[in-house]
Amino acid sequence: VFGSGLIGRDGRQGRFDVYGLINKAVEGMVRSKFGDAAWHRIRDAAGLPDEPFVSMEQSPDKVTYDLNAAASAELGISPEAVYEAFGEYWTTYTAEAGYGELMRSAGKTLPEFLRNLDLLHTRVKMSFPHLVPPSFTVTDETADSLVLHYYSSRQGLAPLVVGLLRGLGDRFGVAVTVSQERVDHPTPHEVYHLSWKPKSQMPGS
Amino acid sequence: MSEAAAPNSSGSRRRPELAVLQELFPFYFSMLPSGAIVEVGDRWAGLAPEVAAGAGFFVVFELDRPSGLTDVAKFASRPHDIFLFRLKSRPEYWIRGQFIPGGKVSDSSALLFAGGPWLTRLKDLQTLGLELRDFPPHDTRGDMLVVLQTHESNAADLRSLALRLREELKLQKSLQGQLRQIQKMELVGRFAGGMAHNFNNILMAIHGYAALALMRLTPGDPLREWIQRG
Repeated sequence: VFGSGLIGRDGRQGRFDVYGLINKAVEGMVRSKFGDAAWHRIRDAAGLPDEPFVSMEQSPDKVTYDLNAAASAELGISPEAVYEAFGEYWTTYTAEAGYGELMRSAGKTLPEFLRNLDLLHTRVKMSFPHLVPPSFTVTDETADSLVLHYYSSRQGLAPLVVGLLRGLGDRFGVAVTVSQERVDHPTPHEVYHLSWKPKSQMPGS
Repeated sequence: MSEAAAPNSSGSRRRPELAVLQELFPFYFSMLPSGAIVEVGDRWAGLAPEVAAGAGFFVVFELDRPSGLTDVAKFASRPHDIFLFRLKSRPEYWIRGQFIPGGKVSDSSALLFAGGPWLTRLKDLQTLGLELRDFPPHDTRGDMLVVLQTHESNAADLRSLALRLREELKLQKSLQGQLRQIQKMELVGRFAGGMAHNFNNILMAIHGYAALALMRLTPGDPLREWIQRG
């Protein structure tokens, strides 16, 4: 889930860098869902060389933005939808990238996991020194719903969190319903109203 | 007076003290100089239930370092050493920590063990039935596992880059070989072309002089046949 947070700041005003792990995951998502040829076209359209991404190597956030724009054009979906698909993919990718145990340790249920998101990001920050992680808090919790508050210094990643929540729903075997709103006061942040049902209770299951 | 704040008449820890100890060192245990374990942290139950009050240190553990210590009473003389020992039931994992003298309220000669399992891979947690949450926030072992995992991911990246580099070098070498072959063939072709051109020039001269000779010879001259054969 730390996908939305693997973005570092390099000290220059307003400039962020993205850890290669994120771009690797974008590549993984495109290759697994749309094939290698689609990835080559997207990479070429984004003006990137045919070189592998390195997890700990930082690159300007423009690389990720360009990839998002190229993927949107190639796949014929909106940039927001690309972020959402990426967020959904991220939860499975982290396990493949060796962080499955970290995810497992964050909780056995969706609400438990979401309550531990901040701690998860703190642990990840120890490994990614330039990481500027987002902050998550949970409020208004009931047996099958909660409100998740997402504070980030980055703009435009709100759809990614929607995808992450759906991916987490799959991980914990629940169907998630999410609605999102932007709150500007007192601190600007995104608010996600989340409810879930066990997938076994869904029609057709 | 509440139970929690009750004086320690039985020699056991008072509840607040125990709670703090459990919170800080969930894998603690205290033992007597005889090696008899008298008190254990609550996480041992999940990791190794044989580590319980009444068990003997050398019955459940095998000391690795410091080496040569066979008497628990002598552990007290090494308060600044890192102790590494293995669970006999799970010898593939180390327990790491230190022994602090005065580890039990009623017995100042007792030793308190502060430490816990020493892991180097995140996936070992699951093998041992542990979770990151089993390590308290002050304990950096959980974060160290994440750092090590990141380094492992980096090493995997480097392995993948090295593999790709090797493949590209191999391809480059093969292309260079092909290029050299093409250049060689081109050279042979050019040489053959030059040879053919020179040979053609000579032939042209022979044909020319033969034609001139034929024009000079009379129709019945026997030399005509020889020239025409050529």
